[in-house]
This record gives sequence, structure tokens and C-alpha cells, in this order.
Amino acid sequence: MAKKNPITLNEDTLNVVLEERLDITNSMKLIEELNKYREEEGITHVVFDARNLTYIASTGIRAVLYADQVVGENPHITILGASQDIYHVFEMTGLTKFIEFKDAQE
Amino acid sequence: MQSLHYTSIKGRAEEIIEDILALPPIATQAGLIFTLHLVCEEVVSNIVNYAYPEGQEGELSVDVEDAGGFLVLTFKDKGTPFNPLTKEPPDTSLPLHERPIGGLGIFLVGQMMDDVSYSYVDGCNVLTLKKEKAGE
Repeated sequence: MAKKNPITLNEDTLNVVLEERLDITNSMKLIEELNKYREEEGITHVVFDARNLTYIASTGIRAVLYADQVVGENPHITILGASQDIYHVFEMTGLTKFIEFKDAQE
Repeated sequence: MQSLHYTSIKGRAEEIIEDILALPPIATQAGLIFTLHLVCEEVVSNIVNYAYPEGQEGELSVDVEDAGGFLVLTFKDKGTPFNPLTKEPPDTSLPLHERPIGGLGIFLVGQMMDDVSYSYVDGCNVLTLKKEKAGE
């Protein structure tokens, strides 16, 4: 059974722990969860914990873009612990220039 | 060649993707499974969600061929004629907040495959993807 994407707000940082996959099966659910924070003021960072993430499709990237565009005002986006495959997908889209990747397997 | 045919595809994208990934020519390509999963998801979800007018169940055929050193995946639907390769590629130099939400799917398919071609034949959209197999 799919687990929920747990999101927690810690002062100015929204932490999002991703499941094993972020695709058509669960990206819309994550976007709905992120949407709950669109009225929240003072969010300057969004951190996606991708240490468990093994697969992403364009719908998953859409969820990351959505976070940037509706949560806070141009928050700093960090992706933590991305695998080589995940990093490569973001690299192809040019987004590695604008997202901070911490502990990624580049 | 392995083939799948669906006479009703509405709401069945996940199931169709799983069926394709289970076909032996694909399932045996462990080194390419991430890539093949992603491209199948992008193509199948586009066809299921957008190829047919609202209210139609829609048809889809998928052929997977192990052609020497290459895998060839062919997707055929009878939906509205549409060549996804004519779509303007996204501007990958734009920062996040200036990006449109969406529009990356077919771009990623083009980036990850060795060859992508489209034709409209006998009332069918035919999208063919080619990828060199990973080393044995």
C-alpha cells in the first residue's frame, strides 16, 4: 500500500519526504498536499528528501516546479540524496542549475 | 516481437505501463529499466489522457521488438492525428519560477531514446522509439 508523502513545516523550511517513486501514481497527491501550504507565509526553503526515491517521471518534476511556484515566494529548493538516475533526469531538463542537490550521486 | 492490444484505455495508464515493462524484451534489460519505464509512462499517459476526445474509450497497440542491438517500441492509437515531435521543446535555461508546469514528457522521451519517429498511417498515430540495448 502506498504511503503518504509526509510534509512537515519547520520554521521557514518545508520538508517533503518522497516515496520510492514520484510519477503518475502519486504526483497529483503530492501536489494536493503542497497546495495546503500555498497560503503559509514565511516559507523560504523547500527540501525534498529523495533518499528513498528510485524513479521519477515528468509528473514528479511537475510537483517540484509546483512547490517553487505556489509555496512561499520563490523558495530555495533543495533535493537531498538523489540517485544518479534521478539527478540525470533533472540535468536533462536544465533544472540542476537552479536546484541545490545535496549528497547526490552525480 | 511481443504485442499488446487494448480496446479500452480510459483510466488504465498504470496497468498498461506495467504490462509493457513485464514483456521479456524489456524486463530483461535491467540496465535500461529506469529509462524504459520513464519513456513508456510519458507516451502511454499522453495517449490515455489526450489522444481521444472526451467520452471515447480509445484503443492502443504496443509492439516491442528486440532488433539486434536495439529495442524498438511502437505505439499505435486511433485518436486525433497528432505529431508530438512538432511540439516546441521547453526552454531549459529558464529558472523554476518561469517554467510552465508540464510539457517535459515528450522532451524527456527524445532525450532518453536514440531515435524517435512519428507517422500517421491508416488512421493511426504511430510513434516509434528506438534504444540501443545495454551491454550483456
